Amino acid sequence: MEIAWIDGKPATRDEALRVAGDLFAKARQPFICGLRTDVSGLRAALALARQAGAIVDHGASSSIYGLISAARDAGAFLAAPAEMRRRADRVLIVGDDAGRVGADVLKLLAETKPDLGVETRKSGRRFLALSRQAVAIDPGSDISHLDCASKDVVDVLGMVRAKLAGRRVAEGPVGAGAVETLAAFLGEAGFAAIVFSPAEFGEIGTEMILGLAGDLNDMARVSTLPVVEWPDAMGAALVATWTSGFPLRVSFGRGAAEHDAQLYSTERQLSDEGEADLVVLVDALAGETSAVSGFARPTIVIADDPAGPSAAKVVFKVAAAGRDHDGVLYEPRFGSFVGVTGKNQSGLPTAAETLDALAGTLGGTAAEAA
Amino acid sequence: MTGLTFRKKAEPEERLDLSPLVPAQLAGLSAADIAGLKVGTSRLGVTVGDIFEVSGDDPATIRFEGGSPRFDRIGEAMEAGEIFVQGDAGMRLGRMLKGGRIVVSGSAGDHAGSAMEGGVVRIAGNAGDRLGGPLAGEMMGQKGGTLIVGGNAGARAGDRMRRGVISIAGDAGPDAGSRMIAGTLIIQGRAAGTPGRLMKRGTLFLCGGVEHLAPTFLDNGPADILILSVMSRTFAAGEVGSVPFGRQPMRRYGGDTAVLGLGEIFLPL
Repeated sequence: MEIAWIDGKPATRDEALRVAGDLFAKARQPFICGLRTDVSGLRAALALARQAGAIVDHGASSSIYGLISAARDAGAFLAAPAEMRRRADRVLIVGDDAGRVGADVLKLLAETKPDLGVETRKSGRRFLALSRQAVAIDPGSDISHLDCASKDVVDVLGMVRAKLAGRRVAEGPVGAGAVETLAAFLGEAGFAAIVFSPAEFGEIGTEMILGLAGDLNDMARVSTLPVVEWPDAMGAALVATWTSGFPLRVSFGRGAAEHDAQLYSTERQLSDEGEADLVVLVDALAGETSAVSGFARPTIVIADDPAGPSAAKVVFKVAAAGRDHDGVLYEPRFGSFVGVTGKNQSGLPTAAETLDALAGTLGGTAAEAA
Repeated sequence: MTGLTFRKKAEPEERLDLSPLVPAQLAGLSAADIAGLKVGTSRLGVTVGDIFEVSGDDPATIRFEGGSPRFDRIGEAMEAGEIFVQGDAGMRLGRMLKGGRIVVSGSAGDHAGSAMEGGVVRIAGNAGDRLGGPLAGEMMGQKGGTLIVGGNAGARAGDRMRRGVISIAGDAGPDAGSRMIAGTLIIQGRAAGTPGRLMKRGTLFLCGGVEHLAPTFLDNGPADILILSVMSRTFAAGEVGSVPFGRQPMRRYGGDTAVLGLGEIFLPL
C-alpha cells in the first residue's frame, strides 16, 4: 500500500520525510494547522512547532474561540453533559444552532431525569427553547418555546440580566412577559443548565450568556453547557494550553510561545495577509475531514484519508486515531479526554510518529523540544 | 543632533517587533548596536540593519521613513519622546504608551493604543480592530492619554476602556465601546453593530448614528446643552480638536443595564 507521495507521485516514506525536511529548512514561517489528531499527535505537533519556529492553530478554532475568549476574559460556570444529566431540572436552550450542534447532548438530557440534589429530584426536567427554530427532542419531554430570532437573543438575555438585578429596560425584541418567564424559569431552578453554541453568538454574545449564569449564581445554581461543532478543537486548545500556556494560535518563531488570537489564526495565516510560507496540515481523525481547504502555499499533508495527494507537495497517509490505532481523544460528554480503542488496527504509522519523524529530520528530537 | 531615522530598505517578509526602537531603549547605543538589535519574529533572527538604513543620533525623536502593515509594536511602552511613521503601522501601535507622541501618516493594524496610559497616538488613516483594547486575558484597555483616528476604526474600538479619550473621525466597526469601564469614545461617523454592549460606565458619542441600540439602554431625553458645549470647547482646545456635538443637539441614553448601567450614549436628536 502506498503511504507517501511527493508532487502527487508515490514515494517511500523516507524520501517523503527528506523532502518535507528540506521544505522546513527553506521555510521562513512554517504553519502547522488542522490538528485533527489525538493527544499524542497534538503533543508531537506542538513539539515540532517549537523546534521549527512554527505557528500552530486548529483548523476549526474559530468555532470555539468565542467561548475561549469570553471565558478567559470574564470567567465562566461550565458544566459537562454527564453532570447536567444528573443535576439539571431546568434546561434553557439558547439560539438556533444549539439544537443541531448539541443534538446528542439534548437527547441525553431528554432521555434521563435528575437524580442528584434534593431540589432537582422532586421536579423532573423541564426544557425552554429561546430560538426561532423549534428544537426537536424526545416528544415526551416537557419543552416550551419562546420565539426569538438569533440576532435578538443577546439583547433578550441582557434584558433578563437587567430584570434579575432590578434594573429597567427599554422596549426590546420580546415583551416583558417573555423576559419574566425566562427569569423565573432560571431563577426558580434547583439547578439550571444553559445550552448554547458559542459560534452562533461570538465573543461578546457568549460573554453575555456566561455573565447571565454568573449573575444567577448569586441566587440559584446555574451552569452553562456550550456545544461546539468540532469538539476536537476544544481538545487541541486544552493540549496547547498545558503544553505552551496558550489555547492555540501560538507562534514559536522566537523560541518562546507567543499568543495572538488575530495574527496566528488559521483564517489569517491561510489568507493573502498571512506570513506562513509552508503549511503542515494534520487531519488524522475518523469522520469529517478538516475544515482547512486550499493549498496556495507549499504544503505537507499528514492525513488518514488524503483525498488528493497531488494537491500537496508531500503527503503522508497515516492511521486515524481511535479507529486505526488506540488514542486519547477529547470527549465532549465528559468535558475531558478518554482512551479510545482502535477497532481497525491498520498498522499504518500514526500522526504522532510521522510528526516525530519529521522533527527528527530537522535535527534534535521532538522530545527534546517538548 | 538630529533625530534617528529608520529608512525602510524593502518590504519585510515577516512581521517585525519594533518595540525595542523607543527612545529609552536606544539612548546611549552606537549605530552598530542599533543595527544589531533583533526585530524579527521568525527563527531567522532578522535585525534592524537587515530592514532599515539608520541615520541620525538623537533617539528622543524617531522617524520611520516608509511604513508597513508588518511594522508591529511601534512605540510600545514609550515614556517620552516622539515617533513619526511615514506610511502604515502594524499591530499594537503605541501599546502601553505612557507618554510622548506617536504620529502615523497612514493606517494602523489591530490593537492600536492597546492599554495605553498616557501620551498621544494620532493615526491619519484607518485603525484596525480593538482600538485601545486589551490583549487576551487583560482586564483593562486604554487607561489614559488620547487616541485619534482620522479615518475609520475596526470592531470593538474602546473595548474595556478605563480612562482617556478616543476620537474616530470616520465610522466604527461593530460593537464599539464594548465592556467600557470609563473614559470617553467619540465616533463622528456611524457606529456599526451594538455599541456599548456590557459597558458599566463611560461615555460614547455616536455623532453619525448607530446601527442598533440594545434595549438595555434607556432614553434619558435631550442632553444638557451646557455640558456638551463645555466638553466640545475643551476638546477643541486640546488634541482632539473640533467635535460635532458642540453644535449638534444630542439625546442621552443610559446603560447597559444588563450590567451596572452607569454608562451613557449620546445620539443625535
